[in-house]
Amino acid sequence: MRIRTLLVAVLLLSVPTLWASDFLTEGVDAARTGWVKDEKIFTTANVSSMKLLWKIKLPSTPREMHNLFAPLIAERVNTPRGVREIAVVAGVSDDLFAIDVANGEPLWHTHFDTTFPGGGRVGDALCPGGQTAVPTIGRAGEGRYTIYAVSWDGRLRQVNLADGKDVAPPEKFMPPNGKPYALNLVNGVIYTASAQGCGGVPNAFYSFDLATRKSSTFLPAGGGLWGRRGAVISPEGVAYLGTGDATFNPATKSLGNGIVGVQLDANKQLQLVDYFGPPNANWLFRRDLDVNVTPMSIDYRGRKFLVGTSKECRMWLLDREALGGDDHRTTLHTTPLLCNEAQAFDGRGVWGATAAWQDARGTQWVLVPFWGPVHPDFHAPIEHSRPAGGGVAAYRLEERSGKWQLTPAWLSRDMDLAEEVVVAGGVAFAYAAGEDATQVLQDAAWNEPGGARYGGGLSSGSVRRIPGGRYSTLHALDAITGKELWSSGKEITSWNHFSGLTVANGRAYVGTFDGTVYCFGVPRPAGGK
Amino acid sequence: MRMKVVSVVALAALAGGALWAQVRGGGSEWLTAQGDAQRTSWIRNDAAISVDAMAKPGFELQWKVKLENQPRYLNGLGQGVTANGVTLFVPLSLVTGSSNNVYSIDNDTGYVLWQRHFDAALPAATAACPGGITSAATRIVAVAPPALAGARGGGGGGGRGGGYRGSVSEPGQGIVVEARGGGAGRGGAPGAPPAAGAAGAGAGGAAGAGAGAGAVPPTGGAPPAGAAGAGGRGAGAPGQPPAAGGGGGRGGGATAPGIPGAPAGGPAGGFGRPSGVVYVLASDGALHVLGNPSGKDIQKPAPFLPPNANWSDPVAINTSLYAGTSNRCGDAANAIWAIDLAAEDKPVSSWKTNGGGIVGSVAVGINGMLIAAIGPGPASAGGYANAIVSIDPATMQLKDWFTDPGTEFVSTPIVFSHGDKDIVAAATKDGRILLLDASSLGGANHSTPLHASRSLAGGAAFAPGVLATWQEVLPGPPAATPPAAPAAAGAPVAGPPAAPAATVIPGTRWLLIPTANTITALKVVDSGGKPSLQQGWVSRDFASPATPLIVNGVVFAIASGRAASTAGATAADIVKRSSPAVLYALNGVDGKELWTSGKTITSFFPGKSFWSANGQVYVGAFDGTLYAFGFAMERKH
Repeated sequence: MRIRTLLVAVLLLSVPTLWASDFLTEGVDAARTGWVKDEKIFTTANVSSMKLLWKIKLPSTPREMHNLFAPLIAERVNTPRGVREIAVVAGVSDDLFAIDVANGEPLWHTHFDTTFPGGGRVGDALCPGGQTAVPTIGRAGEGRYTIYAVSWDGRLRQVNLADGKDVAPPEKFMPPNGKPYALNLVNGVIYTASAQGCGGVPNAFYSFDLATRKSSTFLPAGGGLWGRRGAVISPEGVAYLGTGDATFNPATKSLGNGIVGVQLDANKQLQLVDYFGPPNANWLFRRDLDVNVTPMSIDYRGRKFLVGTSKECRMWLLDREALGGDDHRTTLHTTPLLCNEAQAFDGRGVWGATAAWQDARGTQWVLVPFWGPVHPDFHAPIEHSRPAGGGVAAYRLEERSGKWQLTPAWLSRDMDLAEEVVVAGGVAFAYAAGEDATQVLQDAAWNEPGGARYGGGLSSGSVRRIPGGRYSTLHALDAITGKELWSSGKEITSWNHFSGLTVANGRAYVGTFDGTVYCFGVPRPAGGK
Repeated sequence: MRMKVVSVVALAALAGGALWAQVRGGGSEWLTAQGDAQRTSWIRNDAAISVDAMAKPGFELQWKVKLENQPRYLNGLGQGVTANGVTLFVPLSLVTGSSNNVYSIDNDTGYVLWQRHFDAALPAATAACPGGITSAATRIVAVAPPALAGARGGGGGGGRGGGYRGSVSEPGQGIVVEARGGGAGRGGAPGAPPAAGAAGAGAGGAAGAGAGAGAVPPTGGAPPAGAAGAGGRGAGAPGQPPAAGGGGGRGGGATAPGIPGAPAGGPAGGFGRPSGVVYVLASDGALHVLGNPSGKDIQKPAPFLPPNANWSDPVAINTSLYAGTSNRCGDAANAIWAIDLAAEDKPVSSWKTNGGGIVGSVAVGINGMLIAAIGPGPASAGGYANAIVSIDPATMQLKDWFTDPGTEFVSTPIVFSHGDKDIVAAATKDGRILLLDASSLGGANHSTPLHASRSLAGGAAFAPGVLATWQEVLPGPPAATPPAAPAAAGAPVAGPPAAPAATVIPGTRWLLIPTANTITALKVVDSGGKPSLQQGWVSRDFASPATPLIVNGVVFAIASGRAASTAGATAADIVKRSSPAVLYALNGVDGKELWTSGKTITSFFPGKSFWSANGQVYVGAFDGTLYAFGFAMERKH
């Protein structure tokens, strides 16, 4: 009887593994595809039954327009209270929060000590200070996970996911008060990149080798590297990321407004291995149309692709074996503009994070969320709207007449600034940020309420923009047709800025500016929590 | 210790973002019709267009856009005026359309950012009184002409940090930023090391290398006006005065001290500066002050001219805007009108000719006086016809004049410096070019020109607004090399030391005159202590050339294709007999053809909509299509 009970227990414990998946890093994987391949619960059939499972207000203090980042999920964590599925949420004010996914109860909270005295300018939304990089989680053993985070003081933190305690002393990594982006962990190396020159920290790739404790940096001599998902790491171990705000001129070693690939050498130093400059890179620079989106590394039918985009709002299909070809400026395919007909530097274009997934037929899809109106010349066979505030466009990666291309497939409903896309179980999850994305002061006529206003100047600061925030919306779309299957409507009452979206095990998570984490989900199979 | 540091050379790039951004929003501009207050139609400095560049392939149609404006008689699109750095990075042309329209067009792409239509009843259009909007818009322009400059540099990437590079730390030491130089970087903490302060040396240096290099003050005592570009600061065009552009310099929000009529205050420049305004007159005579980013009336529209007047291209200097009227359309007196842009009630004053109408546009002398040509007509006592007058812009009182009963002026007067004199040049109906001393029009008897050329027209009449002028720029002695700033010990060097700034000196002054079928170029030379005109070159034959414009020594001329008006001809008759326009680029020194648009333009050019900025030349054809020609400059993908 006892043996039988034990067997039942083992069986019950093993049930979750039938549907379990982890979401340990921003963008799901090192390739930043946003594709939860092993999702077992969400389907296009059940996602319409999704509802709010819980929400929790975390004691996280916003800095400028930042507050919470997208949760990371580890499904089976051995904790002092037993095995738990844990969501860990980074707060911009140097906090980590662990939440029991089963019920939304907090498990622990860590606030980093600091060697940085703090301060800095206020009102600069571009440089909020604090913890700006989404952490990443590494598996340390069965049921054991380590969170890697970069605190405001630039030190690398290694925290036990089970209890929030340091598993290693903080390590000197990068200069303090910068603006690093989402961390990536591959083969024992933490990668990130920084932007906006915040705190005087160079815009560069950064790496930290956990074995040797060596830090390395590579400056492309461009502007910021501010892809939302940080650097993508290809299977070959090359870190790629777009650059902004500088000329693209390899002759002068200036790689602004391009995509740069770097790789660690034997001495654990990042070295330039390849780069791509769009044919109009320098015009992009003149218009401040940064290459601001983390590219995706896709292996498909024997080819090694890198797919990138930018505020300009067109897609670049690149060959990782020769990024940009011989002249470093030639793509496999460049799409026409998807959005941003005005070629504005703010409030339009691609700002979030793309996704790439394969359906059961083996079709490779690329999903692109965008801000602002769809370009009048962009058309897809299936159009659910002509978005005005933003939306998601889907492309198929196809080989036609020996040439690879991205072919438009569908266009979603209208969204209020579509941000990241995550695909799970054939469902494309996207969320609308609902923030005030304008960065210039708007003109006002003499006879408008409040009187005349002379606009056009930069006004990206938080004081003006925070009151203009609306509310985020989570959307679930059929990833093959783009049809909306579910929406959170107005259930989320705050917006977010430069946050993200997490999907795992039948649940989708969004954090908002007001410090709330929302968990939406569908019922789990028997045995699930 | 092998730990490397990241030099502040790279960090210069970071804090330099603001400077770069402004330079990115810059480039040559065309702030008022005919380019500047002196109506020279000359862009002195442009990064892309030069004789050398035009001799190579690459100058071509960049975009075209059809503007739905209904012509009135043959009056269609106006000459565009430009605004760089609108919403920080967008270069715009602001183009009037005769049917009470205004268009804001992205110079890079042809995208129509906004358009306005002013509701007003419009009378029937005639050749003399076309009604609707009869002129270009304007922005505020400096009285002093822009400085001469040598060839502009391209900027380059040095300002962003001295080339890509990397480093690795010793175990456990992390990446350390070395601090040296100026102020804190973005988000820098009080008390933190000034990490990113070399912005001026990096970004600013790169920007200024081209823009301001070699600037020399114009002759005539005006101050150098290249400061906007020289330091990599300010959104105005390199070589344009900081105040140019209707308040493109400072302020923000409700306050915008650089814009007349706006409350003072606001941030002192940088990214926060407003994008400025453009001044547009509607057919009901109201002056509209439109925000460049939106086209909204930022200030209350103010009555200025009688409704349905026929007014010429306005010019705005300091805090006033001026325009001339002719043909007594809408019962508007033939006059020069002024409106105070700074006053809330925008008072209007005028100087009436009591005689002929204002010919072409009002120019502004380098001394600030308004200069206008007056056409024929019965003059009452104290009135003027067939004259060039000088009007005090503050009092709107006549200060000086030239008149000769036998001389009928047919062109906007243009003003330029030659030696120690400021010269007014104007064309006469009999084909002569008169040069007048701007400080004493016509001398003691008000009828003696400094010089009168022989007739260039061969008996044919000139069209109004025909002259343009430019001056060659010759290399000057090299400027002293500034001492290099000492680098911190162990810090990587940013790059090679800056080359000595090129200097330039003024060369030959040219006048360009379109005759019936050619462009004739005359040199201004000294003869017996007086300026005179000497034959330079004559272009190939053109069909009805319009006023040329000059960019960096390249003369752009349009064979308008517009059929000659004949007695009793209707607009439809003329349209029917006209042929597509062709744009030509000529070497300004010898008239040699460098480039032609061929058959790209498919309609004729009625005569006004022709300007240049940011390395492009824009032509508005009769059918409402606006063409932009230029080098790709990576605009197209």
